[in-house]
Amino acid sequence: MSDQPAAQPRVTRTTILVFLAVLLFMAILTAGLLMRHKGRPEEGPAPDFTLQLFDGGSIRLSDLKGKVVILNFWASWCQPCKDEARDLERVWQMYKDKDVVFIGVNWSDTEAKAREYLRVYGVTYPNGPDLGRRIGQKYRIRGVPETFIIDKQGNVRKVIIRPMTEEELISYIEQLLGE
Amino acid sequence: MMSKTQRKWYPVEPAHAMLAGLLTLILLFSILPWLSPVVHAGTPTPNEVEAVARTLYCPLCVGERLDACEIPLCMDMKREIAEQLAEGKTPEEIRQYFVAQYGPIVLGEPPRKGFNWLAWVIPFVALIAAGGYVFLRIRQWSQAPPEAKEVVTVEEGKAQVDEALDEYAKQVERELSQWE
Repeated sequence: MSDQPAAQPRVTRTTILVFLAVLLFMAILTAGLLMRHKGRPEEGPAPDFTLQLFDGGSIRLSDLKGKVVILNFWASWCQPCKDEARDLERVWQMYKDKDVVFIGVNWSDTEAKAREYLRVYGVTYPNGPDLGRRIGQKYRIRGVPETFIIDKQGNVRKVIIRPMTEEELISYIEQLLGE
Repeated sequence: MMSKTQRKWYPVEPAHAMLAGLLTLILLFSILPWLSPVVHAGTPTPNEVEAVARTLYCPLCVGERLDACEIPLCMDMKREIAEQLAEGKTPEEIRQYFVAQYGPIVLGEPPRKGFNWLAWVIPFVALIAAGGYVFLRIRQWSQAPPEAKEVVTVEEGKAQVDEALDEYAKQVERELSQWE
């Protein structure tokens, strides 16, 4: 019988290059996926945006420093959005003359349906379509309704991923106005 | 002056008449594209709406084509397509409208910028790399000299088997003696 030792596997230069290429590819892929799935901005500076309004004109978040901002993402096809719509409007009517701004961002909707929704629910605060879903991407929203509560310094203080009630909205606003 | 009764009608050559007819047809077909918005205006047929919907994707679903999608947003989008076709907009104009509304996701392909470039480039790079690897391996195999096989005569083979059997018999004896 042969007593020759088994041949040692050779690590060639090609193997090393292929391994490094695969490693580099995995690193790029991981970095990209991590960047893409950063998650919602739940604290710190709220991403700036300019919203074209349905009624004409536009509103820019960074111009609203010194005010509490209630940023609400909604859609006409979303039932929970309808559940909170009247509460949001009522609270807006209570605070519209104070340092509070409500902004409605209509996400993944058609303009005709969105306008009808605003009319049916009597929504009067500034509202506009999220064209190209750019604002939704900045805030990493996954669906609607999602509401971001932004303090006077322009920082996100609370993210609510469900319909808001009048009471809790008032409580958040009062807390931020008192700071 | 020539009176009406005196007007003479000259016979037209059939070849000239055919040429005139052909020129008229060419002229009509050449201006048809400019007339198309007017032609398309009016209530579009379900097939026309489906034809546009087939080229778009639901912005909320994963890879679902608009024509097959039944969620409320898709139904609204199809209504919007019908309205825009009725207004005389072309399918391309409608597609661009939806891209402006929902982003390039409605085209069903990743936008060719930033990190998304990887999705476009990697399949081609992988294909070229795999093709190159297979080509090199095949060339390597075809050029490699055939391995020299060890030649063993019948007598040598018998001797090797006998040797192995002797060794085996000795091992059996050794192990049996341990049990005695």
